[in-house]
Amino acid sequence: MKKPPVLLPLTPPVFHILLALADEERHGYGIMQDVARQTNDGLQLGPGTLYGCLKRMLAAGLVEESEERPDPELDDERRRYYRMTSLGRSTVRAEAVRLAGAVEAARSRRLFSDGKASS
Amino acid sequence: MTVLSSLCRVYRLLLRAYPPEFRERYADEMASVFRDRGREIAQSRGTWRLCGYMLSTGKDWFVTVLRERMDFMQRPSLLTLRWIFLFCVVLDLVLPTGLTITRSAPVCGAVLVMYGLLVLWATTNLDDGRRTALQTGTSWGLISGVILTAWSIGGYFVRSEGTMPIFLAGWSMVLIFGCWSIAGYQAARRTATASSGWLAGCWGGVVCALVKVTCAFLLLRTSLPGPSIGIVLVAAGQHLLEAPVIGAVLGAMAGLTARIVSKGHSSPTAFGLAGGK
Repeated sequence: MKKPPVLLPLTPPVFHILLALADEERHGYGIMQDVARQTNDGLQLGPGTLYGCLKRMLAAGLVEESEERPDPELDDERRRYYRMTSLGRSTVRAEAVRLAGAVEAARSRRLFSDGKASS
Repeated sequence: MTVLSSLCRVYRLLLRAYPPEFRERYADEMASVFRDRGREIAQSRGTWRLCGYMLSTGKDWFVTVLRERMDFMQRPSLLTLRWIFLFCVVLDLVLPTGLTITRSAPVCGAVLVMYGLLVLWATTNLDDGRRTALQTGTSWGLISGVILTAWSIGGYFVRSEGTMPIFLAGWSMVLIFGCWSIAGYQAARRTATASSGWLAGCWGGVVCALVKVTCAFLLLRTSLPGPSIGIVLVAAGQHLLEAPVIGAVLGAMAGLTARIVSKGHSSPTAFGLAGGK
């Protein structure tokens, strides 16, 4: 099993997929919708990118497939749900800290000229 | 929703371009996600927006198919086959360069290109059992190719001073055919299916012929006496057509032999344990 520093930095799709799974388990389309929401439609994952990332994240132990299936009356039972593992949680936390450091460095160099992000 | 249904069918076809293992695991989910997203776009923004959606998905499909295919070919089990494929590509590019074109040259070139494509297909589309058969065929094909090349070079020098000793030709053929038979036998044992035998034997023949053709071509680039390019090309076509057929027959027989020999055995390495090595 890899440790978080080995996996950093994460690619934007992987980071946002982990964020999407941070509070609840989701199926593929749910992840896609949440990533679009997080980024104000700035990052639209295609099915190939989404499942390619999930494949690699499953192999790295960042996420796992949930064994629970939704109620067939409420949802398509063929859908697979994914959830974040403890390694995934520590990895996304480490990546968030790394990104926060990068934002802080940018702020110290006065790159946020309009002041919106400097508060 | 007719437009969306059509696009879903197109996307289903496109999914076939992914490697088999990826496709088996994720194709249904990907098709489902594509349909759900398309439905949402059609309802919220109108049907004509689906064209843009299809374009962006097409771009995503193209990039990720390449990535997954590359990923798939990075596997250690496919290493030899990948090198063989690169070898075929180089051969196909180099062989027609600066050669005296004979009537057989285009046919031989086409045969080589065909084998290059075959290897590309084989490295990415076969299941584990068949890949094991190809791996086994590759190993024994390389050995038989060296024997065939040595025999051909030796034979050329011997022939230039008289006739080739029959025992030399006889033993070479025994060794070469033996390699293809062993390939068939081993593949059948490893995959626990008799039908793997013919594939391994056939592939052994292909690899053997490719090794021989490459060595002959390399000899053309040296100052050593050897056959002309026309003869090399004709020999290439001949070897590439006959070696796989002979290899397939021998491999099939060896595979059946493995089946008969292992009947009644209950050891885990014998037949009965699918996929066992």
